[in-house]
Amino acid sequence: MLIRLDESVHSCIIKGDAQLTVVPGVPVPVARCASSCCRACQFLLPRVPVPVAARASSCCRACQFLLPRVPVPVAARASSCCRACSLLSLLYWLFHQTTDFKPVPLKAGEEEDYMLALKQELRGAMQRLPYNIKPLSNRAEVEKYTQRYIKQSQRTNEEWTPDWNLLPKELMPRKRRVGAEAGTTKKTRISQKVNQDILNKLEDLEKKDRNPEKSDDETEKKAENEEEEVEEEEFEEEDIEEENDYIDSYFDNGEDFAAGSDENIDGEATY
Amino acid sequence: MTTQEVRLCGLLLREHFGEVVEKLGTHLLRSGSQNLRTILHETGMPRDLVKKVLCVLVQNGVCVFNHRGPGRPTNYQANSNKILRILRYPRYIYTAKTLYGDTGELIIEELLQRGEMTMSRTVKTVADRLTQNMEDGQCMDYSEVSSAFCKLVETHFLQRCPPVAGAGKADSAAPATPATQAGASAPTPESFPDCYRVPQVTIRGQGKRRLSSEDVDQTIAKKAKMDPETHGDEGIYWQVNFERFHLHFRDQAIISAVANKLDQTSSEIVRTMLRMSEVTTSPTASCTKPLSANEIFRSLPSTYNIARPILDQYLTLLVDDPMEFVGRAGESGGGMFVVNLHKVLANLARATLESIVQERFGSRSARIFRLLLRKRHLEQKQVEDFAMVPAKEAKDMLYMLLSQNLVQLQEIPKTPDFAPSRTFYLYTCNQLPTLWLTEACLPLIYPTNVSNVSWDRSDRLLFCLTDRRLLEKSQRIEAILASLQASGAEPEQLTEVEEMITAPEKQQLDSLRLHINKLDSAENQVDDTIFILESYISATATS
Repeated sequence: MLIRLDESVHSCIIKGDAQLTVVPGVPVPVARCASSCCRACQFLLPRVPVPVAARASSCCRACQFLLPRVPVPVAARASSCCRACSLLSLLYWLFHQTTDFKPVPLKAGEEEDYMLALKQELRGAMQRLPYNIKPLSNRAEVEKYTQRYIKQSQRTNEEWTPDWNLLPKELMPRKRRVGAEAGTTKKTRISQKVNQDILNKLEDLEKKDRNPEKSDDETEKKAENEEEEVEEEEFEEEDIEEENDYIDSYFDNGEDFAAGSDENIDGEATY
Repeated sequence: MTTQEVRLCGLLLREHFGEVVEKLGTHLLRSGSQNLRTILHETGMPRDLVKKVLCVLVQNGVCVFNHRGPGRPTNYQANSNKILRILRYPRYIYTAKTLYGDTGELIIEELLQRGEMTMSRTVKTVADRLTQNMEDGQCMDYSEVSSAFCKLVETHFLQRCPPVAGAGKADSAAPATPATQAGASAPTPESFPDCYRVPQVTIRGQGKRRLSSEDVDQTIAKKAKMDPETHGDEGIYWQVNFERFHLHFRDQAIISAVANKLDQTSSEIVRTMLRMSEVTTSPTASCTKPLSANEIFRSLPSTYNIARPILDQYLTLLVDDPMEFVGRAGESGGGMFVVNLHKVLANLARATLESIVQERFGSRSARIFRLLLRKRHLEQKQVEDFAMVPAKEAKDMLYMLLSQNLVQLQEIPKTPDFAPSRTFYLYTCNQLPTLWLTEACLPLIYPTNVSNVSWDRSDRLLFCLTDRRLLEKSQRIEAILASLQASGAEPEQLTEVEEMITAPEKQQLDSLRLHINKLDSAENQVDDTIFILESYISATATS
């Protein structure tokens, strides 16, 4: 945003709490005046008080086209001066390098060449280390033919397991196997319970002449209900998607199944 | 912390650790100390990823955490200085090479790449890498590498990582006392007594050659089996002692300054003095411990062939020099001499700034700048007169310097209303303030890094889209060539693949490579300048 300054009156932009306000015609002491090098964007970064004489020439070459009042000498345009819009001025610098002052040639020699090689080698090596975390590739596109070769050449054949004695405990990743283990125990438990149930049922059948199917159903669903609770306890906090597809799908199935059984139980309870 | 610094740090992180780390790193830099929950909340990244990134940052020393006792969340804080040191890594490695040969080079390189490692693992990797590069039938012995490692530790170039409070399982046993809590915020390795003690390590054997690619999978399986063997130094991690390297750089800078100002022989004398006082002088001392002329004479290597009277002459010359490299501390023992470390640094920094001004703003501006350095406070009119520059030009240059923050302006009002007509405007250069480094020098190094970004991101400035595509293409072709060679393809096939890059494309690629090389080596050399200014600032901060 640009606010026209009235040249005749010694006005200034004062940075308010909420927004910028222009106080027209009220003279502001120079010390309080938010004047940095750039007129256009001075309110962004008020730091160095500039005397009135200096303020006359807009010196920020990045935004000088915004406020072209006083022609700026070529020498002044050469260097980035506005801190507020340094990015813009950088662009400007790149494309409009002055020819007034040529850069000094770089030192060249064995030492410099070696350092250069070291630098580039180091950069390459760091990218191959396990510390370089690749962004999760969410595009499961068609695999490119060349991808295979690149993968082969850049394959990192090491896994990084940090020494947890040096790191805070909370950074430890949660164990993923918990789910799988729970799954196996569940199965065994089921089978035990089912076995017991069968025995019970047989006994029941012997003693009373009742419908075996119903009791079987009930007990099994009870067991499942319990397991589901266990699962929920374990994964309550895990609100983030799992990286491992296998586990993901596994639990999806489990939940679906459990939900189905839940309904069934409800139905039974009412009935 | 300026925006530019944060941006530079972000770029460095991206180059070396990937985009994910960059995102979290810059977030930490901007927001200061934070706990895990806040980080998760503010970045919105998946929990496991954040944890992994934090592990990487801590491992590489970029991020420190402080544990504030049970029940209170651990805070994480990123350290921008550590990130900026990445720019100096080539120099550390090169120095290690000049001092300790290839072995030292590789040790430092490995440690820099991995942040911290145990001695046994370092020795193994280095020996393996050295063996890799040797001819067939030869291999590097572990003991040789570990002796080089010990030498590096003895000379304090390596140090143990300080014990961490509140990490892992260890902390539950030892309750944190207030004293350790205070220390935990800024743990200094020096305060830890075993800092430079090498543990008993039992490693025998020789470096192994890496096998051809199809065997890699087998070796991984083997490694997993071999891993349980212990070397007696588990849990003792080593890191590079940057401060020691910086002292070495400082000494080298002083020596080369003397060599440039006077001559080779006098630089050798100063070198001898610095070496003698290396152990006795504390890192922050403003000058070395006094050395008598006799001592210096005895310690001079005999190859220099400097006679006693000539030494005395050289010493008086050094003392009388306006740069004040060497000071006379007393008359006993044929004269006591010290090396004025801080004064030399100040002079070097001043010379550097003067030449920066001269190169960027011309010799007339440099004249004004020097004038202000000498006279401290001057009015605009006085500047014009003393510098003998026409009033209009002088005004231009002064404003130019002012806008670059190389010169400050002090307003002294005669009346409290700050009316311009009744105010003195004094231009000054306060004795090289800290502000200068960040304000004046970071922008210098800045453009070079922008180009590195464009290497990754096509939408940036220097290299347009076609270049990006070209780069990808050449990478692909190189990969295909490599894999074809590995599988033993015929030469015709290879040339066919090579011809996929046309001649003009090749030309373009070459020029691109040239540019990148130039920028990289410019980065290295700008870092030298920054080092001098930095060490001057740290010297003034302590004195």
